[in-house]
Amino acid sequence: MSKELSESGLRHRRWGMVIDLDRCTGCAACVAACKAENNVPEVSPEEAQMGRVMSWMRIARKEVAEGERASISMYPSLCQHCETAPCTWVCPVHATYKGIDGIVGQTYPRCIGCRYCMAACPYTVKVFNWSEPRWEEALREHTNPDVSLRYKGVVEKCTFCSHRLLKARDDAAVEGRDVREEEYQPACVEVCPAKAMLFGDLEDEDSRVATAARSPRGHQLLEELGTEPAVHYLDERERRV
Amino acid sequence: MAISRRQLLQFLGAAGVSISCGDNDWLLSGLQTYGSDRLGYRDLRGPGLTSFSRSVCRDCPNHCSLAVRKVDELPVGLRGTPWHPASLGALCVAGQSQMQALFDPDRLEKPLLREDAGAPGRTAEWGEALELLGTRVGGLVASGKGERIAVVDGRTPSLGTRLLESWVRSIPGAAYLSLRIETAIDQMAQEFLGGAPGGRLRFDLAHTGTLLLVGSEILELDGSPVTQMRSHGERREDPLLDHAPTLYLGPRQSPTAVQGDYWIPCQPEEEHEILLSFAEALSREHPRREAILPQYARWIPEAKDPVSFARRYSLESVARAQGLKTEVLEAAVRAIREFGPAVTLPGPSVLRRPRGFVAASAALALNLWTDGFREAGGLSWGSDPLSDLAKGLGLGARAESDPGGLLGILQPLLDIKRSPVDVLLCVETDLVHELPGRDQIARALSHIPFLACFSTHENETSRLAHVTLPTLLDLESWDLPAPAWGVPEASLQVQRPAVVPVVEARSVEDVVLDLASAGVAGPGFAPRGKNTRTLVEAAVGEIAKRGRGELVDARGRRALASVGKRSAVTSLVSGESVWVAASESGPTTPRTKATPAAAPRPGPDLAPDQLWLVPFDSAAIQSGRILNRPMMMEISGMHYGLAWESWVEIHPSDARPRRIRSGDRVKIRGQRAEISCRAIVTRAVTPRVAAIPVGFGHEAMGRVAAGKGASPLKLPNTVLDAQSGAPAWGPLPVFIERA
Repeated sequence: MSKELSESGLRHRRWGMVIDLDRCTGCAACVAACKAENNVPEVSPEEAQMGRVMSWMRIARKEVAEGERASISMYPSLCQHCETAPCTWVCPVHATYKGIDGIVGQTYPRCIGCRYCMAACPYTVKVFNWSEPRWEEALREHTNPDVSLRYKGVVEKCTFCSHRLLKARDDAAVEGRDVREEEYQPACVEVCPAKAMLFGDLEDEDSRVATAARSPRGHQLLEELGTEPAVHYLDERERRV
Repeated sequence: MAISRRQLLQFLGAAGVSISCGDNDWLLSGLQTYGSDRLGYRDLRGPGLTSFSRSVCRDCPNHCSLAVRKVDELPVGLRGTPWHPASLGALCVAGQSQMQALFDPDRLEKPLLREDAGAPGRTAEWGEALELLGTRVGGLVASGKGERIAVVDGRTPSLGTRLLESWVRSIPGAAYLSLRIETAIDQMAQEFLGGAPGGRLRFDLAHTGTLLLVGSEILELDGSPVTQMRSHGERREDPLLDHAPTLYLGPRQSPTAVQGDYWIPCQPEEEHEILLSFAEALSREHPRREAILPQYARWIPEAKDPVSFARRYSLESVARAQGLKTEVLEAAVRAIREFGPAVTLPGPSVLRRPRGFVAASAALALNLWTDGFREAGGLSWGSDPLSDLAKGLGLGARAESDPGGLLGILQPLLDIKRSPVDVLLCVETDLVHELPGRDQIARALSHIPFLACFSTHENETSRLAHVTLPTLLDLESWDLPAPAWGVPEASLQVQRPAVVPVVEARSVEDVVLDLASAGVAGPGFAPRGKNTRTLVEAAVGEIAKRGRGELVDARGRRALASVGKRSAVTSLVSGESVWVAASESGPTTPRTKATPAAAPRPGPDLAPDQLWLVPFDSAAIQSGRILNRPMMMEISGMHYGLAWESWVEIHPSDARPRRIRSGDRVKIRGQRAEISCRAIVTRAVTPRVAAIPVGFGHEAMGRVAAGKGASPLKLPNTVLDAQSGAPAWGPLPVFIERA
């Protein structure tokens, strides 16, 4: 990473996630946590019919026919925070960018709503504000003040709850140290009832998340595209021999 | 110096806390006050100081601990509590949507009164509403006509529900009914386990051998799903190791079944056939065959003769009848034998259906063959610390009899125009929406002379009520919820108001205590608390006396709590099928001489172009009671790419001839009504079965829920449970075609 970082004593990290599909029950607690934490509003039924549901995290259901029966799996789908993120190449205004520690960020005021990034993303995890987000008057007062509210015409997506990383960094800076892995967890990881999600520094070979990522059950989505996602999935059915 | 409103509130709050805490500071401290919108909090926003107030989520019996995050005293989010043993920081989709429930603009703000069922309601002050309620109930109490009073409670168990129950039971003849179906499973299990009445079923899924689930959606909404999801993960710690499998038996591959290792499909209402075939296979050469098999003879005539039993329920004959390969059932039996102790657990999904008690009974009985009734890694019976605590607080033991059950109230109304009760109180339950035969139920309720509802919203049932009282949500009220159902370790926690009530609502228990103080109560009702807060404080004091944070059951056995035969919850247990757990020393004496009902007859055949419509419950919908939250409307169908609408799942072999593709809108036609929704073509249902979630199709319950999706319970349903006679959820023969 840059000299500037090493001078300040922060070591290079790459924040990543491992999702164990053999534990995941598809309960969508992660989806709800993400919406609540990041002030992602619900859209109207009419907009939902047009496929404009705003969800940074989705539960995708995969059904593979096996005769009259099916093999079904549910997997949480979110921004993969790719090492080589196609969305960052095509953004004409650098509104979507690869930040430090591997998180692909989004600067809402820069976004011009061209949606090139959405077209470039092979994982279809970005969402667009087709209309002004609506909040019930009472609920608007109770949004998370750590996350800015977006507006019509901008793209948004999962940020690995980077606002929590900023807070953890601030707290750690007071003590003159780096952020510890356990001090920073996205909301989805925190609430998972099945403990199916791990989060941490993939660069730290001894970390739980890096160890899990090396599991023979591990795979990544669309690996062949070379995007090098920071999200790994564990699935017995995909076990490498 | 002028004191600001905020300072005044803080002073009052601190004074209140310090007066009430006493020795119990360590549990009750932390109650924070803040100003709501109506008290002008806008000017209180400051530099963003974060604090947390803890409370409990009561959307399901897991009773997860949660923390309300506040920034400068303003609630801005909910999180789980990492150290709580039942949840370990988890908070499911329902729990997280509670903020939306709290600030729902359609919440009832004041009591509503109406002259007649269906007439427009008018807003009233609490005084007027309570006077009306007190007069109607008090009149019956004073004239000794308690049997004309009934209360139906839809909440998860807690000290508060015990208080309500205690008040009802203090009135001679009055009926208290809990609609929580876990109670039924507990009571059935108690018969098998021979435990002390009033206890609870416990299970330790993380250390069980083969687990056979029969309509038990333990990874979604039954029992304590959050805790069970974690246990499920532990069972599968390393998939490469030879782990004991999880099998699921049912007509639909639910999310719980998906996460299991094997789904055994069967036609709806046929689960007991497969379970009896497993029993037959396991009984061969079983050392306790002589003790256990005769018990089946109580209700399976073929079981009187082992040869007849083997012929009727052999794996081959049952597999043939079900359209399965024999190897499927043989593999299941092999797994049960190989990975002991095997545990079979029935659940609400099967109990809600006709003959559900039969299947549930057959499921529990299977544990007799597989050593499934055991402390470690099996099903066991534990004392209920809340029951014991409630008794110590003057809330009394349960009465001996349950005079009618829900059916006793509703069935006469379904058939005739005379109401068996004069007063029915519905506490946080929407009978019209949640019970099958919606219009019938509505007609029945409209005949009740005085119907009162405690509810957060105007719903389908409260629209018929003479008085509707707005209730507090969990985040706004005091209580002591029961420990999570099914988990080995019980933990009690204080549910305290984490926010000042948003609307002018009151808790049910505070209303009851007010009525009691005005003389509207039976003799002997003497709880140790003037309101819910002081009751919880007293409970905390009891807990503190027994040891910090632990409640040790040092009491003896409680009085037997038997129930009437017509109870919707327990009729099977009371008479039709009573099992005695065969102990190591041999069979014990049967508890009853009642003659059980004959084995269930098969239902009507389907016409060639009909399908069985099977309603199912879902964690994200919960019978519709949380669909007033926009988040739930969006998430409930997410895995199918749907939002704000319901769906029906159809097998490809049924969709093909009907030219139905996923996403098509279809009509579902019953005998006299039809509904419409999206179709999802999937192999996750058995052929000839169409599965549809229950809960959508509200006509009230606020702008978010009303008019969204379709309710299968709207289709006229004359199906009653064969054993208990209770209204049951399908299956219904229907026609399905593209709209």
